[in-house]
Amino acid sequence: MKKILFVEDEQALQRTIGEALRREGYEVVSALDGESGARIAKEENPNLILLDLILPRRSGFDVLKELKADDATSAIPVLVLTNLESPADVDRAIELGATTYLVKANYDLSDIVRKVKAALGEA
Amino acid sequence: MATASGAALLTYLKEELDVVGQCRKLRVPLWQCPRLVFIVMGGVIIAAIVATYFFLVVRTEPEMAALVAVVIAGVLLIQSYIILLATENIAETSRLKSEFINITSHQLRSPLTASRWATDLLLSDLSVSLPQEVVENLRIIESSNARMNKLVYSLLQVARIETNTFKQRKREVSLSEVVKEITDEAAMFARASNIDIIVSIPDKKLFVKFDPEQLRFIVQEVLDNAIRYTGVKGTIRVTVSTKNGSGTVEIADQGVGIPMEEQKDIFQKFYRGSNIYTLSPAGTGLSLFIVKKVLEAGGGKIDFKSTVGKGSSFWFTVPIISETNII
Repeated sequence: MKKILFVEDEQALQRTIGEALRREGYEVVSALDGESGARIAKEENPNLILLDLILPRRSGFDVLKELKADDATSAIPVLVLTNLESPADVDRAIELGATTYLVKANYDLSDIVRKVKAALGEA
Repeated sequence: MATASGAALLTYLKEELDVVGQCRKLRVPLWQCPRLVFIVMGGVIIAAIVATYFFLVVRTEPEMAALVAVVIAGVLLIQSYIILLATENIAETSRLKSEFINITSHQLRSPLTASRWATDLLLSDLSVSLPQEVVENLRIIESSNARMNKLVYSLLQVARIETNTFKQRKREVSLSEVVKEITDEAAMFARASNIDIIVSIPDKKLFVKFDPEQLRFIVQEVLDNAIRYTGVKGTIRVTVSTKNGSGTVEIADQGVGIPMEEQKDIFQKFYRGSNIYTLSPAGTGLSLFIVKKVLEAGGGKIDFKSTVGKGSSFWFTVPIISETNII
């Protein structure tokens, strides 16, 4: 069973996306802030990381930078899932190594699941 | 023609010389307003020239001329510093506005996204059979949420345009493919109102350099308007063509049309036709304002013609960078 780490501070989004991914047969591990997101990524070695950018304790940008700099986690695909949509934020995330940048408000839940499957090579 | 040019020149001069009005727009104190300080500087320089001439040529008092030069240099230095302060204030205000927009975007849209996805989950859970009434109420939540999301997006776009923080990520994109994608998506929705969408696209790919998401937004908004203004039953024709190095997308409907006296306001913020409320009470009145600004930022243009009772035709052009035949 493939494992997805979801780093997001909004409990409601944790619940909805977590449930949607579990229905597709994935194991979902949650992190509610940037600090624990970076730590859990190294501990759990997930197949994919869904990462919000505005997070308590450490920003998603910092977490992304750390994960991509660490050999143990650099190969894990990271899908940024945020409501920040300025081109500067998009460029910054892609430069730091994000695989895809998704603006939450622009996607249905089924679209997010499709993007996850595509990133895992299952589309 | 000469009268129109003269009137336009007069309007331009009136705006440029309305220093107090310009200062109020920037929200800086009058004494820090760059334009006003610049005018004062100009006056000081002219006075310095006259004074120097007076003391050198008329009164032949070179010491006084030197003193005038020193005083004027001091005054100009102070005024330059004031302009610098004002410029820094304006830049800081702009930065704060931009930051506010980013944070607001996140904070407003996150709860909307959460409720939308929770509704998605409930509606897609095939293991639970929900009573029809519950499904209908969930659909109401879903559509209200979509409207709210669209309104937030529109308001944020307007805020970005007005604070000059609006950015485009230009890519090479096929105009024909974008139009086909949007019209295919809209066709199902339009058919529910007995509206046919007839699309005419040339047998070649027309590539433009534009932000793909914004191009989709433009086509979608203009087409949505055409559907909304058509109401129940009718035909909308979407035509893609090229002329003089520009790709043109024309969307013509057979809807209610726009009253002549309102046509000059059509690209203003919050404009909604007085005759549209019975057909479509929901609507922000922001879409055409945003479409025009986005197009112009990308090097494009938009125009229209409309007759009440017969319909409207909107067309926009975008510069083409290349064309390839579809094999």
